[in-house]
Amino acid sequence: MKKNFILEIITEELPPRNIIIVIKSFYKNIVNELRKKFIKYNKIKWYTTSRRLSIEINRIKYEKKHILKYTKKIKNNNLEKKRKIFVKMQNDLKIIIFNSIKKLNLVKSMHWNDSKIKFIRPIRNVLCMLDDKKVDIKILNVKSKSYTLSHFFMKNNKKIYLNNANEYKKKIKKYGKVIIDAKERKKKILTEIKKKIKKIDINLSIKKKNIEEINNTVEWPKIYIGKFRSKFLKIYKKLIKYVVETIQKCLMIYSKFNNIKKYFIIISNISSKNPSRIILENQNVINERLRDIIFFLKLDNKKKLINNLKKLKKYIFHKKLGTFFEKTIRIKKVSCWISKKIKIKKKDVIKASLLSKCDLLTNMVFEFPEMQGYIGMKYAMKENEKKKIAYSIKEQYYPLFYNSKIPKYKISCAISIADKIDTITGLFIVGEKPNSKNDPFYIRKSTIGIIRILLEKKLIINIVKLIKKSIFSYSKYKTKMYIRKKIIKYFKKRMLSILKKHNFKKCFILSSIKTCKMIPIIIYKNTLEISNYKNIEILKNTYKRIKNITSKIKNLKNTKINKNIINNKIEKKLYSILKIFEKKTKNMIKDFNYKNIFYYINVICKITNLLFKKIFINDKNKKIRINRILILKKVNKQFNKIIIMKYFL
Amino acid sequence: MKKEKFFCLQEIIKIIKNFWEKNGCTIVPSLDIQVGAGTFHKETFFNSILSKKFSRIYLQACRRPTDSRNGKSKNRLQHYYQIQVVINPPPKDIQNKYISSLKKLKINPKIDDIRFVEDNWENKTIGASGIGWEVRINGIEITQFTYFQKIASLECNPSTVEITYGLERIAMHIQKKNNIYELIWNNKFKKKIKYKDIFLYNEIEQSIYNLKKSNIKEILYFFKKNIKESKRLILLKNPLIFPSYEHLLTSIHQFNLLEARKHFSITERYNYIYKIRNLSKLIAIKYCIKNNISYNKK
Repeated sequence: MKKNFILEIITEELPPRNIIIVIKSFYKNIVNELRKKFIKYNKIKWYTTSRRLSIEINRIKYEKKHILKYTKKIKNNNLEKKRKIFVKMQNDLKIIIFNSIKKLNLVKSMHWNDSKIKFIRPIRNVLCMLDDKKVDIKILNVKSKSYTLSHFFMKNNKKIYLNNANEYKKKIKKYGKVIIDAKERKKKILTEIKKKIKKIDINLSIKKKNIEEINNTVEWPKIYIGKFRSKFLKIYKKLIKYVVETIQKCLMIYSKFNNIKKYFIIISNISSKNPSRIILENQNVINERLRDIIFFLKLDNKKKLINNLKKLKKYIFHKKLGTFFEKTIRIKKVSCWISKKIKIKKKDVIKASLLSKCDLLTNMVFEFPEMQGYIGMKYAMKENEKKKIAYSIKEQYYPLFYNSKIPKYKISCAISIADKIDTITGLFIVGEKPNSKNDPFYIRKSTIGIIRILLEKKLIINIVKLIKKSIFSYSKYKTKMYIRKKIIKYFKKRMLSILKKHNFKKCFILSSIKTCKMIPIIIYKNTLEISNYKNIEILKNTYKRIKNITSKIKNLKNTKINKNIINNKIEKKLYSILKIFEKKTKNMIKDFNYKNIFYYINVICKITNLLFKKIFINDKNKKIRINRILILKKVNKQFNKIIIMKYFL
Repeated sequence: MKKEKFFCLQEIIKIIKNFWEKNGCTIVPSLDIQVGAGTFHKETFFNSILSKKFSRIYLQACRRPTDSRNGKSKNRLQHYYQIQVVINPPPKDIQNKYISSLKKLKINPKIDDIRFVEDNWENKTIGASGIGWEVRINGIEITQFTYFQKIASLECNPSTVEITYGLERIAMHIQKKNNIYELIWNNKFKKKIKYKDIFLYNEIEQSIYNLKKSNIKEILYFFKKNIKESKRLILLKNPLIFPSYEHLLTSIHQFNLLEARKHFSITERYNYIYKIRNLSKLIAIKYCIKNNISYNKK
């Protein structure tokens, strides 16, 4: 017995960026549930549009043994048998759907009626059929039907009754004006675009990846080409793209050399009898928006960017932390300090830091806050600033997200770090430190940003000193010691979480943070080295044994090792090698000479273990006993210089 | 050539109001305080908190000081009108009804491309957020369509649906005008009255005030006083909820004026919003207590 199944949930318009996540999770859940119930089938497909989530299962098979269980009692009555199987299938499917919906990955859900239920968007119709029969099911309080609804605008949401589940895809396209298959829709969009573009110029093209989102906003796509006035082409590319693609949801057209053209593509959801209206009005909106931009550009270009610096005195950064002018001065101080450490020209850094916040007061950034930095960069370039300086205005905000790119130039790194550390220390000073739920000032992101820049750019900067410097730049405030410690602790926590993502074990990272100064790249290298150390187990055991013995005897703080009463050969050897090691470690750690370090550690471990074997530590003579214990203590102390052993126990 | 007939602005208002009146909405007057959006109306704010059955429609004047363009932009104003439809609980066919209201204005969804574009509305000052769309006709935003999820930081369940018609934008589409000031407000009599006849000079003067001439120091003072008064009234033994709310609204407008003068940064802005939001939450909670209903603080 093989049957076809269709489930379609019609909602109000779904969020285009999340549709695919939702339907894929739905699909996966259903596949899993089918497997759990040992139900076999030929094919299972998912479909989506801007208003629909559908699952189609082709030829669900119930095998003989499967059926036998439920039809045992019925003999010689085929019809009754079939009915029983059908009921069984229906019930199975209901449970499957119910479970799959329960486990759905909804990015953001909502209330829409008086029930307590939440879903991604309001459900307005449910179609559920197994072959020619409706499956009675309730999805979040909406009862299933044997009809679907047609295109909301073109066909007024008219009902389309199905005679069989397998008619779904064809019928909804023919009578409903809905192309249910996202791939098919995308193909239609692409071929139509190609045709239309060809008419203008064969060499033009679009960026295909931008289609995905728009494809999810339509059910019956139709392509039109609009154009804005060519005088607007002189506006910065990113701004035009922002207006046309991000705000207006149209597609830009590009030339062979990746230049944008005055044409853009409108993807409408209907095939209109009078498309000129659609084109004209879309054009009008975009033209108006771009005209607004020109208006702002003209206003801004009347003055030089640096002129805004004075005005920053009136622009408050934070009530307790002063204006953006004060912030700029602090950024200047700290970034100059950084410039010495990473060897870049101080003059350039000063210029870059003074310009860094000037674009905040431009009309452009006021209108498009997302463009902060970018506008500053463009204006600076227009004013013939050095390329690196101009870029630093943009790149000071990098990384924008947790995993996005970090600044390219060293100047940008200096400004970015100075800006971020200033926000972090400032907010800690006035007591607005973040907690796990609340981080309105993105302190967490900034902290991670600083560490990532230092790590990935391999910059040797000590975070503790950086924090000190930043606190010092807040000269007005009397900052207490415990605040500095709090900030350092916060950084250490983030350092741990970042290094964990490099697949290091927690104990190695903690140890490195403790033994190295707070220089991320060194901490990273150290963690890498000690993670690769092969004899860690032997070291651990040796350490443990020493610890056990030495912990029994206390009050040894002021006693020193007496060289003269060392009477044993092995003991003597251990003592001498410890002395060498103690002298050499300083340079070995500095030079990252881990090969040597581990060589010595191996030797020390070996001799210590030999010592345990050959002689009795707790000698009858008290002086000798204490002397031995002191030597062993020294061994552990040396170990702890390299690896903090307590994290490994 | 035969001239195409179209609706003038005052007809559009009437048609939308009539449509929703027939669909069970009560027409109420607008709020008499400067606000940035129709959602601030007492009817909407307090009824949504209570989540009781209600449906209202009103025309609300709105002020957005930051949108001041000295009367030079063709499609942006610091003062304009919204028609607000608020219904709780939302009818199942609410989208259909909305489209029907557009059809009454002779907008044909088979000819004009109507789209519900994801745009989750949020107003941080009164701790309100919702899930919804901006409705676009041929790329022009004409309506905001929202299911409230939170009002005054309290969870809305059942949620209230709010449809905000941008009056001028709809008129521009209907009258095929590219310039707001050329819209026909009334053509019933021999002489046409255009939008600019009524609003242009107001727009210019208000823009100058908003962008240049407002006295930051004084406004900051008013802002603080309003917050203080609002707090005092809500903390009375028998709190005066509505007067307190009105002072809060006034302070929000003053906050908007300060923003138009670029008085503060993103960080500092947050501090102001935080202050206002906490107060609006307090007002909401007192209102719940007075009406004897439980509230969900989530």
